Amino acid sequence: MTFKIFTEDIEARIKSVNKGNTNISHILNSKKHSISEEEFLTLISEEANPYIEKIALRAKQLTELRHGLVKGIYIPLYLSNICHNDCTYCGFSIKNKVRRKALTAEEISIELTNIYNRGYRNILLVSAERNGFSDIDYLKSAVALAKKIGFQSIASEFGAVDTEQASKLKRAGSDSFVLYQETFHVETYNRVHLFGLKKEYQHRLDGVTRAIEGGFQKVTLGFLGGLADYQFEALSLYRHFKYLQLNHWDVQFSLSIPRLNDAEGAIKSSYPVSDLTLTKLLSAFRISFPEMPILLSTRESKELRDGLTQICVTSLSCESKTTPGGYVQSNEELEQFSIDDTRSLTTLVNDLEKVGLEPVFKDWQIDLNGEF
Amino acid sequence: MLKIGNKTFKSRLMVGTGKFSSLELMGKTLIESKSEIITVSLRRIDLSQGDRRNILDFIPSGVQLLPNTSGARNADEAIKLAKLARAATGTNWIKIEVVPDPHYLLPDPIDTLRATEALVKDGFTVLPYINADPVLAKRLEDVGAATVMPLGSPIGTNRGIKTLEMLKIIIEQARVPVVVDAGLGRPSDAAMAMELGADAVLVNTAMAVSNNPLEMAKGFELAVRAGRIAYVAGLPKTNTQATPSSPIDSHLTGFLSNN
Repeated sequence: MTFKIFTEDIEARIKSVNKGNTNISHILNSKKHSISEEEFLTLISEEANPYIEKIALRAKQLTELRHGLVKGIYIPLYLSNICHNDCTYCGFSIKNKVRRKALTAEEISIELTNIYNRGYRNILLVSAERNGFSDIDYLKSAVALAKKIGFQSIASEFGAVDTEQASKLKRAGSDSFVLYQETFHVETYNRVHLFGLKKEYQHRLDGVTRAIEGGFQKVTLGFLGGLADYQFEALSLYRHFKYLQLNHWDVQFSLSIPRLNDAEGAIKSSYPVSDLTLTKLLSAFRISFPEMPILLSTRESKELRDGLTQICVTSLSCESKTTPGGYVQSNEELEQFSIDDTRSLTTLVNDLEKVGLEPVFKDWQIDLNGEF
Repeated sequence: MLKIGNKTFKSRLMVGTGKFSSLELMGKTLIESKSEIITVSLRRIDLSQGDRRNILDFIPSGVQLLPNTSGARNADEAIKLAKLARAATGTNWIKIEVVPDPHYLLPDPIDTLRATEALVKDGFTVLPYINADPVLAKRLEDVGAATVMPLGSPIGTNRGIKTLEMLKIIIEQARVPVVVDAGLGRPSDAAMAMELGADAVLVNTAMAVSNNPLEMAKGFELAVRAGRIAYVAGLPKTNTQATPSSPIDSHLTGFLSNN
C-alpha cells in the first residue's frame, strides 16, 4: 500500500470543515495528546487569522515543553548544481544557462574542514539530481568525508533516491534524509516539473518510504510554499505525516516549509505564502505534532526567524551558501536561491542567548550513524 | 542515605541537564537543587574538544555524573554510547535509555534488558530507564541493575504520576533503589513519589522550562525531602469518616475498668 493524494478529496475536505471561530479556543485548550484533522484545518483556515497570537502562544508552550529552550544549529553544503531536471522555480534547472559545478573530493574536504573549524557539527549535504542519481557513489563519498572530518550529524538532501541508494548513504554515515515534495497538487506538480526523474509525482512522493526502507530513521519533509494553495499543501502534508507515523512508528519526522523566492530564471509565486500564513502553518503543525522538530533556513529574514524560533522552530541553519562550496571559494553566480538572513554565527548565537535560548551544535553522536 | 552501587548520597533528587535556556542557568539550577547525581546525554557532549562550550564544564564538581544513552534506539547503540561515555567522562555509571519511539519517547523493554545485562557484565553501574512494568523491574534487578527508573508519565509531559498502581508494585517488590523518572511536573508530584516509598526521583523538564528554574529547583529539593520524611515517619491511614484530632475522651471503653 502506498500513500496517495486524491486532489478532489483534499479540496472537498477543506471546504467541508466548520471554521466557526468559537472552536479556536476549544482546540487550543485541548488536553488531548494531539488534535484532529478537522481541528488542524480550523487552525489553518483564513478565519483563524485574527487568532494568530493565541495559536502562536499554544505552539510556544508545546515547543518549550517538548523541546525545551535549546535550538539546534546546522549549516548546508551544496556539493553540485549539475542538474538533469527542469523545474520552473529552481535556479539549478537544466534549462538555465548558469555555470555548472560539482565539487571535487578535494574541494569537498577543504569546504568541510573550514565549516568544521567554525564550530559546526551538524551538516546538511545538498546536491542537484544528476542523471537519475547515477552519481550515488560521489554522494556517498561526500557523506563519508563529512563523517571522517568529525561532523556528528549528517543530513542528505539529494532527491528521491531508491532504497538501495538510501541504504548506501545511511551506511556511509548519514543519519537523516531530507525530501521535499515541492507541491502535493498533482496538476501544479506536472506543470512546474517539465523534465527529468523529478517529473514523476508518485515516485517523488514514495521517496520518503524508500529512504526509510533503506535504513533512515530521521526524515525531514515539507513542501515549497508558493506553488499551490497553502491549505491544500498543508492538509496533504498532514496526511502524509499521519500515514508515515502509522506505518513507521520508530522513525522521527521533521518539518520544513521553505518559501519560493527569487532564483535565477525562476517563475514568480502564484500563491504567495505571507509571513502570517507561514507562522500559522508552522504553529498548527506544532500543535498537531508536538514532538516534531521544525527547521527554518536562512532564505527567511532575520526578523521572521527570530520570531518563529520563539514560537515553534527548533533548528536553524546559519551562514548558508547555496552555491556549490562557497565557504572557502565564493561563486555567487551559481546560487540556487538567495539568502536573506546573513547573520554570522557569532551574531546568531548572541541573538539567541539574548532572548534566553541556548544554541546547540551537537545533539547527536556520529557513532550511532552507519555501520558499527 | 541513598545507596546506589557502592556509593551513598544525602540527596534523593537527581537532575537532568536538557532543555535549559543557557548552560550558566543550568549550572546554577543544579547547585540550587543540591542534587548529587546529575545526568547528561552523551550525545550533547562534544568529544572533539572544539572551541564551543562543553556542557560538562557547567556541571558542579563533586557530583556523581550519570551519562545517559539518549538517542540510542536499540541495545547495540546503547552499549556503544555507554562505552564512549565511560571513555569520555571516566565514570562507569550509565543511565540506559533505549527509545525507539520518537513520539512519546517510551523506552524499549526488551533492548533495555539486553543492554543492561551486557553492560553489568562489562563492569558498569547500570541505571535503566523503564516503563512502570513490575516484571521488567524484577528482570533488570536479576541481571544486576543498580536501580530501576520507572516513569511517572511520558517524559517531558509534566503530567505527574499516571502509573501509580504499577509504581506501588515495583516499590513493594524491589530490592534495588527505585527512582521515579520522567513526567514529574511539580514538586507535589515528586513529594508523592517519595511518600509512596520511591528511593529517589529524577527531574529535568519541570525545572528547565520553568519561569524560574532556580526557585523551582529549590521547590523540588524541599518536596523530595518532605516526601521522604513523611514516608519514613509512616503516613497516616486515610479515613472516610471524620475523626476528632483532639479526642474528648481518649478511652472510649474506659468505663469497663471503672469498677
